[in-house]
Amino acid sequence: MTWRSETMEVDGVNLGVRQHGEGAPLVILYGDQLDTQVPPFDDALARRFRTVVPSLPGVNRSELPDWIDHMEDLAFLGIDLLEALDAGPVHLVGHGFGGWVAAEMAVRSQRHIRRLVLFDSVGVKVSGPTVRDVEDVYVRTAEEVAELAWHDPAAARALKWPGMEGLTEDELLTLLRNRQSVLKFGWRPFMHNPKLLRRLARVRVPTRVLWGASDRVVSPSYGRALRQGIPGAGFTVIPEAGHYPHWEQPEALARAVTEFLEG
Amino acid sequence: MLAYHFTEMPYPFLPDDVEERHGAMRVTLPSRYCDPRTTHDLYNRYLDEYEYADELGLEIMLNEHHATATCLAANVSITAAALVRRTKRAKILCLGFPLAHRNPIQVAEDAAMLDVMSGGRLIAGFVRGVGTEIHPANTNPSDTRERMQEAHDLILKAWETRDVFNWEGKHYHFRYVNPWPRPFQQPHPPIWITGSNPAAVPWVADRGYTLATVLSSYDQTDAIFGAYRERCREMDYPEPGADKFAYCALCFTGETEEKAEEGGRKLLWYLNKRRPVGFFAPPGFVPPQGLLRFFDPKGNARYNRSYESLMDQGVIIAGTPAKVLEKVKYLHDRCGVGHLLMMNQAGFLTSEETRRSMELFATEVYPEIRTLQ
Repeated sequence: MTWRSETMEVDGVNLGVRQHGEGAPLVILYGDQLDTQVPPFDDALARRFRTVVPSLPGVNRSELPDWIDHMEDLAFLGIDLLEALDAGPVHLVGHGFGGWVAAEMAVRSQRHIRRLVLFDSVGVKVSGPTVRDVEDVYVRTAEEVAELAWHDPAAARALKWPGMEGLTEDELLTLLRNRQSVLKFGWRPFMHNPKLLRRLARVRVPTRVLWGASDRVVSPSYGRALRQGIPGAGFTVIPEAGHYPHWEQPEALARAVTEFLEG
Repeated sequence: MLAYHFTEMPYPFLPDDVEERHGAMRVTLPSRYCDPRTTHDLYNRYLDEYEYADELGLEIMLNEHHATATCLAANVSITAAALVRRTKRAKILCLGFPLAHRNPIQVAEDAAMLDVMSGGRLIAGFVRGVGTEIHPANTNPSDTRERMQEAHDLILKAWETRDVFNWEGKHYHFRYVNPWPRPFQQPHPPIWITGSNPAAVPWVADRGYTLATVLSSYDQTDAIFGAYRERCREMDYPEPGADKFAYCALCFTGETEEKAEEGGRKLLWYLNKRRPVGFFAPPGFVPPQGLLRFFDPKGNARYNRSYESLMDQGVIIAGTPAKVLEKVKYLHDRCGVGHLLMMNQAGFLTSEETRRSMELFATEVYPEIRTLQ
């Protein structure tokens, strides 16, 4: 499938965006993954939706100006991006760190959001202080991450990761810059905003939370706690998937998401 | 040239497999391996060696690290406080206060207290902190330099302003800045900065501070000090003297070449430790370009260079008194160094060995280099 890569200016920041498909507008937010690797899940969605995938500031081809240094900046920029698309309310889908950004957008403004989907997302704190809700994958080796983040660790090769064989220097540099950018916002508190869980009660748009059954980066029970915070949100477990169901079970995930969005 | 005695106060008595079992000597090595009685003995032994340095006419350098068996000094102010009343003449170089990780007002107060108590013997070293300090402090690696520089500005203003003032900066907020006491040395103690990246050096040169490299090779040191001199030329500052340059190496002086090599090799303990990249270079602490080689799937992040190459590169300075004198003169002539920071102790080097090496240096080498300008 051919995705169209473009640059979109939002609040004076140039963001890398790829687009494909026709139909109801749908925006996917990811974290620090390479944009040159298109998840099969995106292809599946693009068959039914006008699918827009921007890279967050400092990720892939997107700029990171000095003034963007807090999750709030990402949330407001994200809201302004939806407005700038000028496509009416969109379906907003977020994964991992991108799911956190989507949730922070939604608690601030739902004017441009039709339905909200979060899968294997971070952003909230659900356990006590000695429990690390979000695994610190950044101090782990590629092999350890494969064990934690995949139902089938042998399949982890599909998604490029620093320390793996077969990456070009450009890919490695981009991945390292991506994680650096994401951690700028998610270092402390680690990958969450202590205020977010309570604020999720503000979400009024129909919401679905989906989770890889074998996710050990953020567990399904974390996902259930996140869902509990959002009034009326449903919860779907994706079997035989870890932290990256959009890679490990793209068809099953796309089916569940599409059913929710069109149902 | 001035010489400083330095040890990180290591705790080397660990089971052989701890690195294997816990992944590293820093950050993730559990404190259950640290026996309090052994530690009590070690602290007193290392402090005694510092007092001996004072007697021998050497200056003193102190530092701190966290969550590591390589360095029991977890607070540079506390080690310095234990020494100010037990030493008589030595300068006490704290290198340094970890500005990116500590309340700057506390640093201004600690340093001023030490300076006043010691009658003006403090040298205030300000450091960003190495990568492995990030996780113990849990400060954001991407803004450490910014935090360090703002903390520096605030501390300097606190020392120079003899009045209450307001500070509402980007990282620090204090509405009534008024630390007591004022430093003994007026307007403030000498300030030193450590450097490993030439790009960060102009900031140091602009302020006329002394720049120190730590366990860098001659070549790396040339690049770092070269950036200082280049900045001075570019900005039309006076040419910086040797006083502006400090060099820290692992040092051992022995009666014979064999004894010197034996001692030098024992110091290597410090370097040959496993270093997982996520801990020593957390994302944002080093630009991505500087990380490439650590993510080579065939590579090995262990800092494992041979004794011979470390000697050639000046990371270790070991030999008989005559040999050490020759090496220090070379260092002086090549890098223009005015301060030799001697890591005279590391790993399993015993107190007896350490003291003997310090004595030999102080009596047979130091008199010959004192007058080097």
